[in-house]
Amino acid sequence: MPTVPVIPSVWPSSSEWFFLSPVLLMAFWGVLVLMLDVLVLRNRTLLSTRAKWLGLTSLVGALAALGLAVGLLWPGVLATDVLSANEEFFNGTIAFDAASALLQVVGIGFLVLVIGLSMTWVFTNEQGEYYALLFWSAVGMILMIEAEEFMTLFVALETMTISIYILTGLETGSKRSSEAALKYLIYGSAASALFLFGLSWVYGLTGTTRLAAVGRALVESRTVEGIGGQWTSGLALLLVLAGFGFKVASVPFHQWTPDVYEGAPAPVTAWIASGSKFASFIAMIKVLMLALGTWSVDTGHLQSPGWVVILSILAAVSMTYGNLAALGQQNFKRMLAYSSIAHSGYLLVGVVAIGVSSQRTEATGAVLYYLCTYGLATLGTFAVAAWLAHDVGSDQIDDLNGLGFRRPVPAFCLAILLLSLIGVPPLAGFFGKMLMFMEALNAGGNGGIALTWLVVVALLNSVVSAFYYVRVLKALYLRQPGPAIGKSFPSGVIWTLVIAAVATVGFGLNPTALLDPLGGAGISLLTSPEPASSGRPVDSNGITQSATVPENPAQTQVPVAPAPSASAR
Amino acid sequence: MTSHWQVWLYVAAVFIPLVAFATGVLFRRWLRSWIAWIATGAIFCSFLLSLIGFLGFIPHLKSSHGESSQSDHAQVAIPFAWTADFEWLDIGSRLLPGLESEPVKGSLPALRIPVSIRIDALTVVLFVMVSLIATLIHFYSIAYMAEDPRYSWFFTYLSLFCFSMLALLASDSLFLVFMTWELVGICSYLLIGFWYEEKTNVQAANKAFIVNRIGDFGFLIGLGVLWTSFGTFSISEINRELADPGLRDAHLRLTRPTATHGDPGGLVRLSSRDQVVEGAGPGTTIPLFVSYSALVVAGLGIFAGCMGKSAQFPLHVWLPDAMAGPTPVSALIHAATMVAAGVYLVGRFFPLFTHEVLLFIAYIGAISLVIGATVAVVQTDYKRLLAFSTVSQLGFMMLGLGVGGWSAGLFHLVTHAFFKSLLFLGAGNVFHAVHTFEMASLGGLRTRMPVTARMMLVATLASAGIPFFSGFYSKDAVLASVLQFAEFHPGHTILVVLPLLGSFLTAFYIFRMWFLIFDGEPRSEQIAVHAHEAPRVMTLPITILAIFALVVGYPWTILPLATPVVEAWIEAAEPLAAMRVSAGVRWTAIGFSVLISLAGTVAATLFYSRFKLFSTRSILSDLKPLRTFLFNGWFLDRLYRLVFVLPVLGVARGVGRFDHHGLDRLVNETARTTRGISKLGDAFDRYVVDGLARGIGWTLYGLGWLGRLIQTGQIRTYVTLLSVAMLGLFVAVYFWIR
Amino acid sequence: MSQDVPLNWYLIVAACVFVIGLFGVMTRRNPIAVLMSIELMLNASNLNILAFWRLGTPNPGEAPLTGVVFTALVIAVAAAEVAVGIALILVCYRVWKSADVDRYDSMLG
Repeated sequence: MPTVPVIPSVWPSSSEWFFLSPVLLMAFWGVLVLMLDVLVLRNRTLLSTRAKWLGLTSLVGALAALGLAVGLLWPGVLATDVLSANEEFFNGTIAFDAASALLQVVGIGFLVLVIGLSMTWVFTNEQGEYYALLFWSAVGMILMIEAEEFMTLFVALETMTISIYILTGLETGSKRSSEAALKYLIYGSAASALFLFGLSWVYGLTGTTRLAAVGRALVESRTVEGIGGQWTSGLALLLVLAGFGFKVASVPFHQWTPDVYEGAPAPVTAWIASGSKFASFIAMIKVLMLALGTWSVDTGHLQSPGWVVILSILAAVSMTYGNLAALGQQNFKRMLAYSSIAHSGYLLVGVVAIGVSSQRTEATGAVLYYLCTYGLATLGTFAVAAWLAHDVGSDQIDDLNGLGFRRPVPAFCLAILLLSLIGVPPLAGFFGKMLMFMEALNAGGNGGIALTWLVVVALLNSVVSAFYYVRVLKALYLRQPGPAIGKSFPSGVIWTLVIAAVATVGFGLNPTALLDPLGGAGISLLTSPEPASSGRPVDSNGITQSATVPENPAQTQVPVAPAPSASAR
Repeated sequence: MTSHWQVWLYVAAVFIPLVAFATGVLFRRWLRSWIAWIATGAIFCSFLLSLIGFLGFIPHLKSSHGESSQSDHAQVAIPFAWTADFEWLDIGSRLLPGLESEPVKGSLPALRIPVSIRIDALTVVLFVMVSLIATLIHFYSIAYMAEDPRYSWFFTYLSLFCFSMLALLASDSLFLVFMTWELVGICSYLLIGFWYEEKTNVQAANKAFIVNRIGDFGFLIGLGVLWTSFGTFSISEINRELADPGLRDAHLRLTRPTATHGDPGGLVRLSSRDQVVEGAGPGTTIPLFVSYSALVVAGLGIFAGCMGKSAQFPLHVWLPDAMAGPTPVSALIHAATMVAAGVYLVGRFFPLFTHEVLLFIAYIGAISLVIGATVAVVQTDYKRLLAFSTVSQLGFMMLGLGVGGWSAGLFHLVTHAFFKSLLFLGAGNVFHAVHTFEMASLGGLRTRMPVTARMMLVATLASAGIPFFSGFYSKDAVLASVLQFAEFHPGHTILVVLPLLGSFLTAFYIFRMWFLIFDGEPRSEQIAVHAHEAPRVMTLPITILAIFALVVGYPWTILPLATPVVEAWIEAAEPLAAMRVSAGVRWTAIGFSVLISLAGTVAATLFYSRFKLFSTRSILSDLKPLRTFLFNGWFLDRLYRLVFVLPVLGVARGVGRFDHHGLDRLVNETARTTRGISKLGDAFDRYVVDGLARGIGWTLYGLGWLGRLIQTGQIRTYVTLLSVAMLGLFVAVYFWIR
Repeated sequence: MSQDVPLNWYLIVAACVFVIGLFGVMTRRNPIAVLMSIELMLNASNLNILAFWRLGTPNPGEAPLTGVVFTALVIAVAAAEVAVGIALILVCYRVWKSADVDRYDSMLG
């Protein structure tokens, strides 16, 4: 065994705990809800009463967490010098920056909406477990966003995923729910294993698990930009991409998506499509940019080996496959599942743009904007799917016939969300797409245009996507009402729809309101924590690297920087 | 940028219909049919405001290019306009100042999208036109739609449309144009499918929406290229930058015989792009280089959007189907305003189009013109006939713009809006009376619907291009531009032939329609008995429109060469010194124009009016002495027979047969060719263009179905495919990076 | 001290175990066996991590126990996964009356 230097480990300071308070609150609240169910309510009250009380308790907890998270953003709550110093936080495992602070608000916001939606119907006997697992998956999600280190990332990812496996199977007595859960578990575990195998290789190649340190080690040991000539790098990269590809539902790691989306209880589907995808994309961006930035592409050769090209191809295939497969779907949930695959493709275009754009932070801001607005639109559409499933008892698009005139408010909100998903201006979906695609075009630097083919494929795909979204619009407004339409809308669905639609229109009319903070988050997202200097004692891992990371894209303020490390040469 | 207070007039004019829309949506239940009056009042207010604005603008209605037309390098004056900018979207320029503040040379500037409004002469004129026509059509619809169960929804949609259309006209930002562009598209979609109980209507609405998306795909590409090239969405800014002499040379090569210098193959240098660079003071100018090919791509992209919206070949297929909507909608959206938006945008962006793109526009216009006209000749449904006629007339406008006749094309837009909306409203009256669109069962309505018949006749005359009706002046202006163009570029003479053919056919089919509906004896007593004149609220709008269809083309003086007033107004907004037509060409154009339209009219009269009987007999009786005379021994009789008599006999026989069979030989002899072409065009439309669209649709569905085959539902398949994909990726990457 | 087993040998063994596990997931129809195969894949990664930790070059300044901690965490995660997996298999067995993953195919297309 190598001799081990004794390094004092550092107990996190109070401000660090304070920063984590929303997460801690949610973890605790999960236990609380579970205990409330098991010790107090179960076997004493009716299922519906139990569900109501547990739902309300959960909602209170989620709102409290949201309040805490918003409070942390409040100017002056956390000393700005603490935030901007980007110190090692929790011994360098968790990012303590503007991005984490802001994105956890979004994540918890999604959770609040999902809990609100879940309270509408009683679809499981295991109410306590259900809400507890929702909380815990949110905990995993937020830690995943904040993770700065592979072990933390992996554990957070698994916390989220395993909780969602169970949530998927919780619908009492539903064959499809249990089938979906088992499929999800097997596929997900296999994908996790691939991911972990990739991580083990990354660890082997660099000797560390910290994102920033991995990035530095790869820079030091590199012979070329990208992965040219290094098959081990290629293997590790592909395996890591497989893990993320599974989480974000990109082709060819997408096959669980339609089945799970269809089988899971609709609120859970909404949670998978919004929250889980949101967190996974952010973690993916962080890993790819901070740790594996060197493997992106060879500077100046956009066709050279690296994840930029691989992701471009995956993006193109995902968009095309998702949209084509959605075309003939009669089942609303499955159609949305395929469209979700297509949207992953669009988002991957954004990720590629971050990899090559000369304006990294803007590109990141664009992807985050798309993620937020897409998440909202998805929550809204799945709220309708949930209504269809639970109140009408069907999943078919035809069951929406004539909704536009019988139930104008929800139908109008749904129409807005669908138009936003197509990308019709001035709705938020349009801006998300436009900004991402423009950053992809902007990738060439020097005013040149690059990745044109990818953007053209993406635009063609948005044309194709119009076909199947318009089918739903047609059902809403241009068909005779069917018998199902008499059903009323519960307030949970209306709330979700209205919030989503208002946000979609609002952020469409004034994108700056969302883009400015997200752009700021983009900057700190792409800034890895700097090694501790004299301000703090050396942490248990004792990193003593120099302060500047040349590969760190956000700091690369060199003119004409088309690819990650133009300045490093 | 300075703001002019007058802009607020227009802002108000734009937003009043939006208020009516909101009222309609929110208080529909309480207000019920009052919404119709609210919507009408709203658009009438808009009309009054635009009229006030117009009166205020009159002092500025002078062309800025009058003197510079002879010199290629004259400084281009920016046409006068009222402008205002409102901050809307600012991305990137406010991000943490320490990190990303300095614009990097070569990288894109921050994305700023101001809501800029620009009111120039063209906007002023079109505002009056759109709001006037819209007001009349609202008024008309109050009666026309009275029995509809979704009466209030109809007016709510109409208000939304008016808002979007006016906003489209007022906005200077391409971005805003795109948004309103989509909005009018959505209104069109909603209104085409307004009677959604019938499946065909729904299909028509879908077709319109999807075909337009195809055009918008190009539009988006153009938008992206423009933004990456110029870093702005402002139309006037882009136009100003494009006014650079070097580029203008390349541009003017098309419209001037001599300007062949300039190097469009290389980079086009655009000046006056202000950018602040590190180390230099503010205001340092870095020339922006825009590659010529980028301009071509941008131009083609923008034009693709215009083709979709303005129903140009090959994207015109949606317009005839769009007639499924209520007739007032067809009059307002699918004849007068929305479909003209594409032409309007081409006009707005005129300096952007390089000469290749302009040629492309001209040819597309010419092709649409001929296809529309030939197909219109064989239609039996008068509403579809009008739709094809719209395609044809829009083609006329595009052709005019494409050959450099900027004001001519846009002038035709204005005159066409009046007479075509009149035709549609008249058609609405007819339908209201007889409840059929089939001309074969009509006829003789002239006596039963005298007002409608007379007003329709005015529109018909204007449409045919008969002198002293508005259509004559604008069509003549377009023809003159085309002739002038052909004089510079003899290789493109076909561009003269096609519009002439089109004019002839236009006069022919439009009169054919009028004769078949109003003239002669009723073909179906049953229908004719119930026919009655429309109520006053429906005849009043068309009377007003008829007045405009008559006078809107008049010049100040009756001198034949004087520019029509409206054209002169429009000219004041001309972004570039476009082509000037010489007097000789103008005379030729007038000559052609008169001859051709008269010929078409006469032909139609001969075949379809109640005079046809009389003509046939007179021809026969006139020919009898001739035949006898020849029969009695002239050596030349064979030659004569060959050259004159056979054709004349053919005519005679044909017309004679027409008496009995309703189809005449002359049509077979002379017009059969026309019909053949039309049928071909129709078939081309139906099978090739529609078929292509349908084929693409089915292919996509099929591919999707194939793709879903791998979704077997079995988890083991999924994992296997995952492994195979991983293996494949790894092998590919391995060999790729080696 | 005796000579260590070379790093490559570990890596090859780990890769083999991983592929065997993947193959098992693809071919076994009994869900319990599928879970076992997944366990194999995760343990292949553990083997990798430990081999790299013991024999690879550590990053300068890296903590001494990274690989071990990582492995411990992975074992914990794997245990959780199996626990959930078995629970879900039981649910499926109760609902479908079958312990064959090929039977669970009501959703497709």
